[in-house]
Amino acid sequence: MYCGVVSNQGTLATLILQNLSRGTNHGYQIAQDIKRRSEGVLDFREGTLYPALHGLEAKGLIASRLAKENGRTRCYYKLTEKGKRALAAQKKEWLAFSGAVSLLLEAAS
Amino acid sequence: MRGYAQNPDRCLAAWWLAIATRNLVAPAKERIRLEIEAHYADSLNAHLEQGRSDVEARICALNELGDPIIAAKRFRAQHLTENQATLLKETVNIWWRLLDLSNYCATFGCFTFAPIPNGGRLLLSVTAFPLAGIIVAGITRMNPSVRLARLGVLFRTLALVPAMYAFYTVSGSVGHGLQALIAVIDIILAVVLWFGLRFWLKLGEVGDLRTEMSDQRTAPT
Repeated sequence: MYCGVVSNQGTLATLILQNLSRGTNHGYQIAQDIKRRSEGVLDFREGTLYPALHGLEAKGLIASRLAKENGRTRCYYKLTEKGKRALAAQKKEWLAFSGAVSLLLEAAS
Repeated sequence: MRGYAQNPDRCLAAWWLAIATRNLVAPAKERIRLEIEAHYADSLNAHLEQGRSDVEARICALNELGDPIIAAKRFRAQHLTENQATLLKETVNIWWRLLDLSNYCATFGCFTFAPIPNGGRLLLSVTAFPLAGIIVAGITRMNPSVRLARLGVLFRTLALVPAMYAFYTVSGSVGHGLQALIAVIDIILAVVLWFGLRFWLKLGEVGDLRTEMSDQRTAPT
């Protein structure tokens, strides 16, 4: 079975936005959710997650707030309206792309 | 350091953070520290709950953070470094605006004393860019925002182009000694132009300039 490390920034951004479309979440939980939902296929390495989160925040696609939980300070992220629109566009683009690649691969085999 | 030596988890996370956040501004460092320490602690607890030994759990938790050098490269693309914050503060400083003005005067002087084809149009660009840069810098000082800061940096950087052209044109009507000096000045200006454009691109990735430039550390709400 394929087991990949998510390193493509565009793919990672889409996965983060999709995760946050379900509600507010923090970095560790986002990584765990993606790992769990992809049944361990997708993983984060090399400090990609937090720079990607900060980049999405800088673009206004997500918003963050610091909150104390069990004596530990966490940074919670949520999707903004702009983020929702970007996610819808990225989903559409990805589905069209993956559909086209599948068609080509199926035709070749 | 005694505190870190007594707490190996904090020490490992601190080691990773020291590399990943090297040279970043204090508010960015603090925010990344909070996130990474929470992530590391969560990860460590999860590995301990899975039945791993203390040492194994620490290694796994640290491994999950990834390569701190790659993380540092990515964080530097998203946050200002200390040098960049200082540069940005200085660009709205009155002395830098005076430097812009002197650049303008020097370039204007070149145009006045040298015959340049299409001098009128060039003169307009020589006047327009530094003046626009000075005005935008003044507004940015009163109201720090990424868009204005970017615009100010872009104007000031573009102001170097007609300046370089003016110096290049003047070099045709001066002696060999001065020609070499002008060539050196043009090379320096080209390097500054390259750094200026890189800085302009970088500012496009920075989110909230007020937070990045703030001297105070972020506090949890």
